[in-house]
Amino acid sequence: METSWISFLIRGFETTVMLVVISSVITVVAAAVVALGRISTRRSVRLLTRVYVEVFRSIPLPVLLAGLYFGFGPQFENIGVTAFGLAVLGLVLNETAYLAEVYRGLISSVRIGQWRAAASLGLTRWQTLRHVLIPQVTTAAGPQTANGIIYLVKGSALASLITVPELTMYGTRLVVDTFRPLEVYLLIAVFYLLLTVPVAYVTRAMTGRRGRVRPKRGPHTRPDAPRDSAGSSPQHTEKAWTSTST
Amino acid sequence: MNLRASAKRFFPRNPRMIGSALAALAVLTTTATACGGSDTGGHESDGVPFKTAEKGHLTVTYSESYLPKIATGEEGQLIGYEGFLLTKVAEKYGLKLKLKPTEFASQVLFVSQGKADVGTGTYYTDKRAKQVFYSRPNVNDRLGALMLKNASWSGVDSLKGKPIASVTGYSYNDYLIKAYGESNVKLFPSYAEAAKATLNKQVSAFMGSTGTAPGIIKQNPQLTLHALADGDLDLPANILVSPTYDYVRCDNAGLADAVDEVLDELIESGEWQKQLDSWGVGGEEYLPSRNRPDQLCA
Repeated sequence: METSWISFLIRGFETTVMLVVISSVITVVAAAVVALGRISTRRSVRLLTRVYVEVFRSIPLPVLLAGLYFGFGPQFENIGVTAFGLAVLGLVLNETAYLAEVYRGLISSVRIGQWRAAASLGLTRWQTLRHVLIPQVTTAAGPQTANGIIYLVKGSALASLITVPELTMYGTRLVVDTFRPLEVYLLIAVFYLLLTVPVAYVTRAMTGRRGRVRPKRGPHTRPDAPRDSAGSSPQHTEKAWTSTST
Repeated sequence: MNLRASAKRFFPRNPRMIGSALAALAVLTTTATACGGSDTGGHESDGVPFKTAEKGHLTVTYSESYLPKIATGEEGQLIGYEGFLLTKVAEKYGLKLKLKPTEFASQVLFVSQGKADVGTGTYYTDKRAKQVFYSRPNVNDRLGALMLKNASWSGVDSLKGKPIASVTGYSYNDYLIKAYGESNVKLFPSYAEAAKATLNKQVSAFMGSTGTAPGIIKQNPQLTLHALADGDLDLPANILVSPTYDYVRCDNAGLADAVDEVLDELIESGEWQKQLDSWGVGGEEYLPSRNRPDQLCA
């Protein structure tokens, strides 16, 4: 392995980082919007978002990227969308469908009593979501969001199919030049690890440690000890909220 | 917040997670080392003077839809002039053809690692010659710009600043990048995709060759090939007009002998010229020498 390999691969790594960062930001926002659409009180919105999720999580990413580039590429290029932009679009469409379902599941897992309590306080639906539910699921959403971003990192490798000069494409060029696939692909794996490992840390830092529960020694941790949170009590049988219960 | 506090926030207090990442890397390395390169010795078949990756089969790797050189036909057979040549080789030695189409960038590795017996449609480079053993050339290619007929062309400089397509792994890519800039040279995984992008007007031209363009032009008459002139793009003469070879594993020169023998027979019988003519690949310039290139196999 030569040091020139690293400087060569860094050129592709820069594109990969840009691709992942832009896609991640858009995906997280879009997934939250779609998740809210999935639990909307409006049937048409629920139907529309459901169709979106079912369609885009079923299409393999290479097929989606190739379809966007070769099928709609000329039209997109007419409005200034490059191959890079189409790669972002493909990644976002694909991963948003997955992540939206995760977010929807988290919101649905909040006990219906909290909706009722919020309603009894006179909060609107939006206020309930914003001030009661979303703060509770943010912590739990952290690891899932990290998984989603890691999926985006891995999916970004497919952008080379539509000529985006990202890390895997530079890796392939290096393999063709050196005929040392083992060393090159290991080096590429290290580059991807450099991206994926910090994602978990950054996500944890951003979502905070509010939700972390560490077992403490003492009487409260005895299996038969009563818990102070009603929602987490094993005896508590209150129904979880679902979109059909509204 | 000081730097130490920031670092504590972003990184774990104990090194377990870093340890996990390093362990994952170690597993990856071990796995890759164990699985990397399947240098099989190959199989001997009765009455066949060379080894094959699979007994009774001649395994061929090639770029899919690489006509007129080679492609998979509708009935799963090889077509194109190199497909014709390798079909004749298999027939002569009583072997069945096993087709392994893959991306151009992987083909030399497929052969050098013993996953395929013979690779096709490749130019000579020193680096490739250290990996595989070349046959004699079967046709000469002259590079050219494959473009839509109605697109303006006044020489290679007229493409400057425009997107140009090529295929990852082609030996002349570095010259294109030097001439047109890295951001303008779009590298596709395969010939078919690069040609499709040209038809879609997503690129202004696809840098192909006289040996390959007739196939795509036959299917898409709205395309034409502007052959490059001597000195264009500062291309060395041996890249601008390059012989095209088949190649085999370094320790399987007997297969290269067999391929060359069949090619000689086809040339002598006139069948080879008929094949080239049927694809519109003809002319004095396209007849290669009979000599093999320098073999650099270890």
